[in-house]
Amino acid sequence: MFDLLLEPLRYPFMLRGLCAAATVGVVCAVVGSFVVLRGLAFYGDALAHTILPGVAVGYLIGGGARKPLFWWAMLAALASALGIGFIARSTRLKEDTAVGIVFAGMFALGIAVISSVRNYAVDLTHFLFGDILGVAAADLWLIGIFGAAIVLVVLALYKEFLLVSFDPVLAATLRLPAKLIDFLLLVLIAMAIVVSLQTVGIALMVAMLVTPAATAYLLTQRLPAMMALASLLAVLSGVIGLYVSFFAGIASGAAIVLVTTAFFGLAWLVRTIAGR
Amino acid sequence: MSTFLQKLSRTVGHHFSPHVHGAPILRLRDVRVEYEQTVALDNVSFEIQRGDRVAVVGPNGAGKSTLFKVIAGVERASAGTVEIFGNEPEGHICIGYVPQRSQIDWNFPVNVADMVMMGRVSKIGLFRQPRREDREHVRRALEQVGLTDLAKRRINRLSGGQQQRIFIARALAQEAELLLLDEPFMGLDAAAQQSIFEILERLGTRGVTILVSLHDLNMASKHFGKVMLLRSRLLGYGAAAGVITAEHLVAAYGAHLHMVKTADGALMVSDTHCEGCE
Amino acid sequence: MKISALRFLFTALVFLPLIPSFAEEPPAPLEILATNTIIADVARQVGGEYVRVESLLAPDTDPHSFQPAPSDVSRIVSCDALLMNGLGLEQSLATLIANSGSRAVMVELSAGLPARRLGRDYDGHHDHDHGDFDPHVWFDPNLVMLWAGKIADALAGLDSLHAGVFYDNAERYRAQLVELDAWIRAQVETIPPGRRKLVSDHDQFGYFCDRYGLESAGAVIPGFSTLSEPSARELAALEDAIRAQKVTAVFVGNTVSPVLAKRVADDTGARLITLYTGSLTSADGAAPTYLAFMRHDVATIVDALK
Repeated sequence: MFDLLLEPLRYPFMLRGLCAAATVGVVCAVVGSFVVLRGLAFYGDALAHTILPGVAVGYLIGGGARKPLFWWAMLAALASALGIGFIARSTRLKEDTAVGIVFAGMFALGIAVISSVRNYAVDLTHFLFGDILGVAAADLWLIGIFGAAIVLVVLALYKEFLLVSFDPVLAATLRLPAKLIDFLLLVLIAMAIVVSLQTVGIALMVAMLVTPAATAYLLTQRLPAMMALASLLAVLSGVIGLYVSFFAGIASGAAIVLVTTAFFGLAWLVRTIAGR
Repeated sequence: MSTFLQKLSRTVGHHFSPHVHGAPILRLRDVRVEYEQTVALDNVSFEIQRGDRVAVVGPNGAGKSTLFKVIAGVERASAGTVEIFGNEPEGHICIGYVPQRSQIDWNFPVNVADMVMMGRVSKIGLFRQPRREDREHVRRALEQVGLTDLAKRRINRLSGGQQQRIFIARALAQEAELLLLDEPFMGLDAAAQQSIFEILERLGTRGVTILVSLHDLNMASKHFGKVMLLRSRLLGYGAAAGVITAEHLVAAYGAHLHMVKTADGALMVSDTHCEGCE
Repeated sequence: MKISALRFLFTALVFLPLIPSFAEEPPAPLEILATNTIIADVARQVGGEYVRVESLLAPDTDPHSFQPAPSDVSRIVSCDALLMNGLGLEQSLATLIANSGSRAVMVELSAGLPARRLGRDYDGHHDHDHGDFDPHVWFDPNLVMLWAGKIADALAGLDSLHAGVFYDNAERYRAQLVELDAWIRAQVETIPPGRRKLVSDHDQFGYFCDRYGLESAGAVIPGFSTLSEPSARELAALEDAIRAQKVTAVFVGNTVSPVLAKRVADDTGARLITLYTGSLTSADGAAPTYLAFMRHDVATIVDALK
């Protein structure tokens, strides 16, 4: 039994995959707790698509080099995050409407850029999203550093983020720069998304951002506990999912997502039975 | 990133305005608030002294919530000035604004103590954790509203009256000197209303200035030293007897007013506009 | 009076072009549209000066994924013949072609060829992106000879006047392919027998391996399409196979994301080698024609495995 569990660890790509899944899991769970509480799941999914024009332009300028793509993706995501924030605040449109506008516009811009330069019609969408099994050692450093920075900022400004998310009016009467803090939170979410996207791909990113946090929400009473449980569930999902992928021969991203979904289903069942 | 944080820290850490000695706790001069097509407040001027307890009454859409938001510095007046202790509200953290209960997502995963601690965020300061002193403030605030036993309860398991009390506790933890309560009695049963009155009375004796918006004129005249009648303009302000007059009420409520003289000479007023709404 | 004069002039102008011209003009060349650059090159070799050939996919693009623009639809509509590979390679184009209303002659070049069945080497893993056959027919010049014959037939049907030229061209091209086939055979002979093993990004060298006696040791993306994802088990099996069989190189197409292949190569100590796989290069590149493409790839493969 023990040998069987050690078996996958003989492969370096499995070790790197496990590390990446765990790191991305924790970062996404912490940031994702705010995503879930504030109903920003659509924002998360949409933001993943808004990086396309950035990547397309980066690809063309860099002549196909992959390294700078990360920074172009980050640039496009931050621009989109700020654009969404400004539109939502300067008009009376709801935030998800602003998200829809920016998301559709940016995605179309990306496709337009790609299609206008036909001889670069390499499948960019495939080219730019990572695969958990294809994580390089250098990628681990990248997600490690960015992930640590994101989590540290969230912890350092925990009470401010909580207050702005829970009761923006109180934040205003306490004279906190609520808009600035709000923007910072959106920016952190955007950064977490780009880092995850580049390493684990889009389906896994959305699942990691939303599902473990939602599961933890059902089972916990306080935000710190929710964040901790979400992180634990994300890490567990990553590990179990990769093992399932190894032993059952299922595509690894899908396997991990399915494990997070199973955890959610279980939590939902427990809540429904206990609630009766 | 680091410059952003510096900016953030500078904005948060600025010194709050001093209280000018002898200035009234609240003074409005010719305040006007316009939204795109409508005028919410027009030419409103008044002064409130420390320790006053004022009921703000008026029909729906009279601008009560707008008035509170302008005083709290959450919204800006289109014209006129608002002064708290002699300078503008944006510089003060001593204003406790208690919104209507529906303004909050009560399913947020926080407990009673967590929510009250939020009132101390500015006092704690950026990047810092709550200290013993902050926890002590929270404990005393909960004690004053009688919620000590529920400190660890998640806020989605509170009754309407408890929700209102936790709001007040939060303002107390904030060390608010001016308390603005927007429709605190709405949807509460008589017992819960009574317990809020008792809390407000205790706070009044400790010198906290209180403005409460409400619908029930009877309640306003019975429990509050001063009454302010509002319908975009200030129709009357002072002792209840001088404000709640037939003339003023017709001006405020117009055709929706029903007046009945009862046997003991009290005036029964009902604002049909409000029934079942809000 | 004035008005009717104008109307007469207008009518005359409209119908003028319809009056038959008696001047001697050469007939316009046939407009041939190929779905990818490899087919386009073969069509050019066969059609010579009597056809104008365009490719739907530009050079250096992955034929597995293609987003058409309106101009592509108009090209499909206006061409005289549309040459496709078939065997599911153009699946993403199928609806576009069907709904275009094009009356062009449609030729599936690989239909009826002795195609490899899908899933021969992989148990239980069926990738249906491509249908049931391996579409990468062009890695065997002997099968491309059959393409040339089919193209000559199609062109002769459209332009019977020059049928003789088309068949002559096809025969001459066949001779060049025979020569290419012999050259590849000789090149592969120089690889030590134990090292004739190929690993590539997706399962595309089946026809090549069958013809020239190489062995496919596996693919990074299991299946015949670039659009699927491997499981951890498959990747582990591949790495085991690479180590066990001492494979020295992993080959990856230039239009496919090399990320996974690069990791596999790094982890197993093999080299990552880029090939041209689904597309020719533009005229100034290293593989502007099918012959150059095959020579470049074979030379690269042989060099890497020796």
